[in-house]
Amino acid sequence: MKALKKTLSLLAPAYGVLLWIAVWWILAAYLGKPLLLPTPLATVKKLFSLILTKEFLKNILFSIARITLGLVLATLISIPIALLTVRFPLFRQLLTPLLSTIKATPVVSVIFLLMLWLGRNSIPFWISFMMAFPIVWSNLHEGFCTTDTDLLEMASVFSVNKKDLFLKIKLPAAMPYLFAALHSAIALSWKAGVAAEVLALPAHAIGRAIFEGRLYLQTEELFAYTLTVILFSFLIERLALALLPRQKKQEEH
Amino acid sequence: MITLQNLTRCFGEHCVIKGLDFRFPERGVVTLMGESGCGKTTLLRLLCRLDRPDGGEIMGLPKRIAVCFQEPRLINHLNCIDNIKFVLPKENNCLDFASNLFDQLGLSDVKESLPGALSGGMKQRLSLIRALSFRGDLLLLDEPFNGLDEVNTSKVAKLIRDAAKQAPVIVVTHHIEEAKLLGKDIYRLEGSPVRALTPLF
Repeated sequence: MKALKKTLSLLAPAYGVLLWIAVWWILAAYLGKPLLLPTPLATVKKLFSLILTKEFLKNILFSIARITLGLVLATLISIPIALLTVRFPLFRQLLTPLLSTIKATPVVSVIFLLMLWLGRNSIPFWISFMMAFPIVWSNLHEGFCTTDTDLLEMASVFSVNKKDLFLKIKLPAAMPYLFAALHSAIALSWKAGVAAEVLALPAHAIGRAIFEGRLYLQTEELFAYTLTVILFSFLIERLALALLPRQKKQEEH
Repeated sequence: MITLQNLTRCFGEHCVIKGLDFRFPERGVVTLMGESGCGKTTLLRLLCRLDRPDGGEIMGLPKRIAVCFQEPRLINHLNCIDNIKFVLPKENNCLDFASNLFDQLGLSDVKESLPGALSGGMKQRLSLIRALSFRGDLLLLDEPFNGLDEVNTSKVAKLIRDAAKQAPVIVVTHHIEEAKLLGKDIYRLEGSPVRALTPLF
């Protein structure tokens, strides 16, 4: 009985998913127009038939590469910049209006501007970077600010080198903030990155396939690719959070 | 020789130390006593360069200073031995010495444990091991007997006296019995703000 209860509670998140799939199914069956709303089964069938094609794999791989590289670059650049903004408040004051502007600017405007300035292939990469950078930086800044000053003083008295100070005190203090940042940045970068692909139409891209699906009224394909974006956004988020070192849980006396 | 010359430290309008002159001996333990809030910790912070004086100066401070703070100040995600390694210079292998201190203070079984699993007294001993293993040219100890039982208090007192054979040690405490364990160089912080260190014996 206990085991059954445990299994049921573990499956709890799945109930929600199942409910909404059921709603989708009922709506699609009620409408009866696969061109407007294909059923989940038709979407999954389409997805399986697509998986076997080389084009699908290429689209997925290129999209993942562009969007993930943007995210990785944003994270790597955010670390030194956050350290600098904590150290020099003036630098933070100079940076804040730029980042607030980036946050408030409609993504579409940026995409069209970048299309004028850069080649179409790199746009999703830059959009992913631009979406992630302000979030990751502001969270890391906050994280570095919360570093225990007692520990910083201890390290300064013992003349601990800067590398150890960063790796063993500052970065671990900012880690929970980086987790929170990546949690939202990954989803945002994916959504905006794929939107950029739809508009910029780079060679081999999920966004391009979605655009073509809409253009030729291949709604099932559009749905299948959208489902892929959702799945990969989820998987990449899980992977990124699993790869980052977590602090060992403490038992306080 | 560490010398305080006309040392002054104020926080806004409120002065904690004013015009203090003192010369510390080159070796041995000097214990500073006084009521809570009289300026002991302020003086210690000035000595370990965590704070700057508003007037006067401290001369003869060595570069390598080890401190045992009033709070253990341990890194919670590093185990005990890594907490010690964190402050030890890479080229200087003092780990054997640290291991020996773990044994003497009864912490050898928890070397690999995280500080969160230790009791208050154990954390205090670990913080002391860190300060002693560093083997600085000056050792500053702020209430090193905090939370220690009688047995550990006398063990720690012996370790402090041993350390004082190599480098000067300055201890801050407000318990006369603990101060006596360390030797006869006991001084009281006089006045508010502190203007002099007067010998107790």
